[in-house]
Amino acid sequence: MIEALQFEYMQNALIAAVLGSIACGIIGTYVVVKKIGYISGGIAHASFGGLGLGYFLGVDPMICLMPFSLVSAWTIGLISRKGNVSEDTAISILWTAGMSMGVIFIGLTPGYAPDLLSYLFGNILTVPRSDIFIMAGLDLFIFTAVFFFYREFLAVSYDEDYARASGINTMFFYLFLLTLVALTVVMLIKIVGIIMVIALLTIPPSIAKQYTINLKSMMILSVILGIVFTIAGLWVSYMLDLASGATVIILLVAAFLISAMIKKIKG
Amino acid sequence: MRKEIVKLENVSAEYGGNTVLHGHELTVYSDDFIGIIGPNGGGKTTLLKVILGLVKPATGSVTVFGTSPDKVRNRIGYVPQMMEVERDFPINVLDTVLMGRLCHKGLFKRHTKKDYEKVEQALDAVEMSDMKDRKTGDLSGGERQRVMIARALASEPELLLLDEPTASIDPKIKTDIYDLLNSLKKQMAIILVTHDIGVISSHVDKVACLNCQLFYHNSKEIPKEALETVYQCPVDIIAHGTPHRVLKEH
Repeated sequence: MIEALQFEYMQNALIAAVLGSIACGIIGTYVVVKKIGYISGGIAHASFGGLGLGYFLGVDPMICLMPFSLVSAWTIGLISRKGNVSEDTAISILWTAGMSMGVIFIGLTPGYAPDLLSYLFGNILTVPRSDIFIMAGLDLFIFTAVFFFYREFLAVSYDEDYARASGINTMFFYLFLLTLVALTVVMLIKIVGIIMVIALLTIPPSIAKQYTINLKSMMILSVILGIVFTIAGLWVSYMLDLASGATVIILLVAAFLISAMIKKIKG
Repeated sequence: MRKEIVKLENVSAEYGGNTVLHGHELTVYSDDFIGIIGPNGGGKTTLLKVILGLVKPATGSVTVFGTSPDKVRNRIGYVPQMMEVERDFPINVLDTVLMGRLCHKGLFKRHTKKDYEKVEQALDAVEMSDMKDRKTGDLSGGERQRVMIARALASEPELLLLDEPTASIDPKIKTDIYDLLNSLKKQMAIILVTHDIGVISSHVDKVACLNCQLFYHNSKEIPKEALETVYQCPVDIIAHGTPHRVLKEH
């Protein structure tokens, strides 16, 4: 592993692991306590449509990914709050509509779609330097938003009715939170891929939740766990020549099971 | 001075497509301590949400402190039904009660020393000061209810609304909670809703019955007919004698 660090792709992979873990520790905490894991999965899968559009237009798929994930986040948020459709149904429809559009766009694109698998299953070793800067920018945005609106996000996550009764614009903050989820999803797609994004968003905070009694410490512990397990996953996948994204997830699942068992035994 | 705080005129409201309130009239004064009783699904929670401005009435008008409810949110304290609050949410008592200060804050404002003082006072009032670092979800039902009341008190309300404050709490603690409310009634008007007819009459000053229609007689006594209309079946007399009696002598 040490000798591998001289390669730029390995350095990028490590930086991406840290930057991705910061976003997923902070936003994943909200995803877990507000129980919007399924919404996050919907946003991730719907953004596959953006990926397809990117291939079709012949531009960098990442450019189309972000608007697609943002629009699907807002659509799910608005339909579930204002429409007559249940949240569950709204997510299922958007999830599959986005994926179908992606499949059709890719089908319409002549030739073979390069890197398609790396978007679906992630490949942290292919993260270019330019993406590192985008990730750092997104991290900064997410951190700033949560720093300034910590109390509002807390109130909206804990008890939305009470937050509204306190005069907080809960619709705005709910959509803002989904926006941050969408941005985090885009960041994480490079690391673990569309299909496994929710694992990285939910498993580290779920472990952290068992040991913390406030959101701030839950976020910090989630970030640390995220960094440890993405780097460990990277190392294991490098040593054993396995898919990096899947290895990270399997390690996280194992850690979650062990932690849950320890909690259970301790009582 | 006796001031008019809440005025409902001909209010109807829907919840989940069903009309749960029909043409309500209700006036609450600044020194009132009103208990609203009625069966589950009778619209009690909706009535509170109408007063809070969370549910817009389909017809009629709601005025709170002489204006629309959403303009006076910093003067209303709200204790929601306990089930709705997540038990394993990672938050401690202090942070839970601090939420009560949100209605006095603009965006981008940090908590001030005054906020923490108000929180300390509220925790003192419910005798929970020594629990402030505990995880809220780990507390007993009665303790959590006290925290929720403290959160409402921290907002320095002139009107306190409580939704089933004694549901799933053992009788001894119930009495404690009513004693606490009794000690507060000099400082604010209190409206509480409950399906628990037995206990309420000995503690509140006035009782109203609600099952889609509202019966309010500005006193503690309820005519037996009103209770039967509300519950839509013959009601056994639950009064427990003098001095606390909900029903007239019969």
